[in-house]
Amino acid sequence: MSGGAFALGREYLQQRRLIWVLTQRALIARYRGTALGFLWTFLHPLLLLGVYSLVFGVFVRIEVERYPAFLFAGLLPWWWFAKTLAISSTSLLADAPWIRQAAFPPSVSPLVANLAGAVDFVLGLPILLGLLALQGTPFSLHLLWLPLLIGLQLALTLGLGLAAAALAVRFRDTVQLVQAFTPVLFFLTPVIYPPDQVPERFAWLLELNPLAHLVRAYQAVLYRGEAPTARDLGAAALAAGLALAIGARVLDRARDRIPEEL
Amino acid sequence: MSGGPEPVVEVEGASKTFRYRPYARGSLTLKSALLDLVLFRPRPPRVEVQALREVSFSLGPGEALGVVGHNGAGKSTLLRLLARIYRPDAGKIVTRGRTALLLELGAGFHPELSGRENARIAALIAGLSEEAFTARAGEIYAFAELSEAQLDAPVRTYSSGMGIRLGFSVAAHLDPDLLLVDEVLAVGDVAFQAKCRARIAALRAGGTALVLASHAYGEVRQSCERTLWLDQGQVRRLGPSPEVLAELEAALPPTAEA
Repeated sequence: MSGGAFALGREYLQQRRLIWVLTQRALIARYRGTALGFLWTFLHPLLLLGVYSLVFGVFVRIEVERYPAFLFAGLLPWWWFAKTLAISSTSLLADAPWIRQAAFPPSVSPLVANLAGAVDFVLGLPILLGLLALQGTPFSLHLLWLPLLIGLQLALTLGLGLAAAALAVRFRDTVQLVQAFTPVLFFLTPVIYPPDQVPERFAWLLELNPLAHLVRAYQAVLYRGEAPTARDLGAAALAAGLALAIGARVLDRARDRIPEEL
Repeated sequence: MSGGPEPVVEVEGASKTFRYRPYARGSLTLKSALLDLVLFRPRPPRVEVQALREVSFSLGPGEALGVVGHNGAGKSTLLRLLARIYRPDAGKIVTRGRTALLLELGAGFHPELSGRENARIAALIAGLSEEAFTARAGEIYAFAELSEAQLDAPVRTYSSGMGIRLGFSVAAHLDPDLLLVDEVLAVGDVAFQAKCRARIAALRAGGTALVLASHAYGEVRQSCERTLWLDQGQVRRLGPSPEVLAELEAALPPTAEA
């Protein structure tokens, strides 16, 4: 069997210098372009968090203790997911000059989008932990689950990103479809509302959503200071493995025609 | 063949066919593709365009091959196959060592990135280590004759001449075993063209093999011992440049190009 996730890993290892340089460049470009520069990446999430807390905590009155802390524990991974998937899906189109005119491995583009997103997420963690502390959240050794959750999310988003990027080369409306369905997934992920408020007959909607499992695991570790449930971890790991296998396969099958169709 | 140096390029019966479905509204959307699948709607039949048919040649260190033919004869496809951007669907292509490619404008530069960033990334893609690039970056920028301000500006602000100068400079400083050049040299100003020729001659003296696709027959005659004449994707003639070019010029009406 040629291709697949293992061949992908080997390719990434070979291209690590290129991946490193391109990820640096993506981050520099992101932070340089805004008026407030680096500060903006901290101010924007806080602003959004403030509005979400006001609307859903005060106006709509969702009954959750330490609501801003609960919100942020889910919002931060969600933003990473949504933003990265959007950027991944256009990544091959954006890197067309290299792919059309040089022997540039197309699998690199979605990975760079994912790594840049992961750095954003990790940079946002200190604010999250500060907010949690401010709201009196007990820190525990269960925070050590975080690297595993980050790894699972990286695999899941990379898998989806590889598939979306490869599809977008042939079907340009893939990008719009990703944009259209991301909010649907958001509302089926327990970020704004606590998972236990979902009536039983709708519970399957969340069970089928890998992001819901992942976000619940983040909330367990960050917001409640508990270990994630085996069920959530297992479901997230299964989804991540499946996404990566499918994404690697989709990209591999499209690999030869990507430079021709860009 | 025995006893000679190992060839840099070996091409054996390489063919390339492009396949696509001509949809009425130009490109296909994912939505309509899924609908077609669900509703069993017929898809337009696949169109095949054979861009190259059973091309064979080999090239040793320091040798140069000219590639000539009409627009659409398959010159760029051949160069892209040699650069491993496209994969042949039949036949075999083996290249040894590092390949540098200079295609059309910009040589694979990203319009939004600066000249510096582009040079660095192009060198990395070609397989140069970062240390090796840093060591010769000054030389690359000096050869390209770009000012500090120009190097920091996004490549989309470059004139075509500036893009080609930087592209050629990067390609020429990669220590390529194989240098692939498509047209571009006819574009720059005369002084820079002369500099490029001298640089190519120096590279070839050092063992770099050259494949030059061009409409400028004088240039091909001067630089390349052998010429490959492509006609609708097929090898019409492969042999010593003076013979092939004389035959080509007899068969084709003369163009404005010198």
